[in-house]
Amino acid sequence: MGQVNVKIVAVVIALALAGPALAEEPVRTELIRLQKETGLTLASFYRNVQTVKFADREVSQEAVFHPGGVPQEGHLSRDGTRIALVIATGNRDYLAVGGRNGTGFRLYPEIVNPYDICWSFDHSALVLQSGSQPSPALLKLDVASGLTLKINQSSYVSSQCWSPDGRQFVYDSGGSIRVYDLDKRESREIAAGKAPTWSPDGLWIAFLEDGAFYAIRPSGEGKKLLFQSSDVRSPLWWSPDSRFVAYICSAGSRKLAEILSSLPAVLQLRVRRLVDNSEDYVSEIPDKGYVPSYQWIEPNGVLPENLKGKYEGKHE
Amino acid sequence: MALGLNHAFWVATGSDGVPTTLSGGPEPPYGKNEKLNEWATPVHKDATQEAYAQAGKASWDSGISAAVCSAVDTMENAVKNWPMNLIPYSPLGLWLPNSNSSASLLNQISGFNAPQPPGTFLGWNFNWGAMFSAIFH
Repeated sequence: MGQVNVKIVAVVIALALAGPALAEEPVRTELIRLQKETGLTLASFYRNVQTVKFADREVSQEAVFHPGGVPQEGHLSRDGTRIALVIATGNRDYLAVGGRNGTGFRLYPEIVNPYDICWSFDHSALVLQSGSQPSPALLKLDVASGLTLKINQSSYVSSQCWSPDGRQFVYDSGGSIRVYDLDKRESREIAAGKAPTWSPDGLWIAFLEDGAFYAIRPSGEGKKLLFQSSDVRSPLWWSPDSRFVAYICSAGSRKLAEILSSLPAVLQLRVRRLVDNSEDYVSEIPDKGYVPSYQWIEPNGVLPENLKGKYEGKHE
Repeated sequence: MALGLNHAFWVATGSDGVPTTLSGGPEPPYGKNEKLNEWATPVHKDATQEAYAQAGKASWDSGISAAVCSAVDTMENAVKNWPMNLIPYSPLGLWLPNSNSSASLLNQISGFNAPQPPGTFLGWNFNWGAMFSAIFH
């Protein structure tokens, strides 16, 4: 009898050690299920909101009411309720921030030619690029007051630059991954690379170096290889629970006409589940010189678990 | 480039001083419902965009001067106001336009009348007048 019990315990331990990877469904199957259950999706904005439908690998398009001008690129907040738009009027572009439903838009005429916009978790701040060449500036914008803080020049941020507590953000400048501390008002280098993104659980910063995605602790320690992919065209976008990552890479030419003519080929938006490296593509994008910036949207889960209650109620 | 054929796009710096890629292509990337869309993207938006702009070989250069600002602004505004998801697309650019056709249209709109880039015979000489007549009349 005792021997039987030992065997049962051994089997249970073996299953537990195998982890969820072997037991889990394929990554796209899980994404389809999560989209039905929670509304989880990937969304981008160029002239309108484009939302990925995992089941058929297509995008649905949705117009956003805005305060005049023609919206160009836009960036949604993590819960999908707020949007920061680049509005084209005449010979300059400016920033407008408001509700995705068209309410409460505010214009920021002092933010000239904005791009690379990143929402903080609590919607209170943006980090963005602003200004004309040769001296664009990386700015932190307080959404409510309109006050800006100039951080640096010639720097890039992704759509997932903020630490969950909103006190730091990550950017890359000249091939250096840097974390800016708003309390100390100083930045520190944590690695060499580009296109950094901060995981919503706060534990990792992913970045791209020589065609491979790495993750490193925000302290600058514990660098590890996540995976390699050919012809990567984007940062790594973390899902709200930090279990999935999405990115864009070349899919190669798909049509004979493209092969013959070198007309724009196809990019793929791919999702990888980190626990078992199960990966699939969820959408295809023409390789036409514009690579969209995606954001995971979870309508009912804007904040990481450890921050729920801390920021809820601050959302505009 | 494949088989000597090229995809044409513009890199333009207008009065806002922002070097911008003006490029067209199909959306969705294949299928029966492809539309010819246009995107205006700052060249320095990120490393990917810089690489795209630098990968092309310039076939014509207006030079930088105040004299061309107005024409470049016209071209940029045409892209920023492009009727997205309206104009049908065909990769061959014969009876329907392709991305080279959109680059050619910007050439006409701006008044630059730059010479046809090499390897763009698919689509560059597309008849936009007939297309606009069909869409807007």
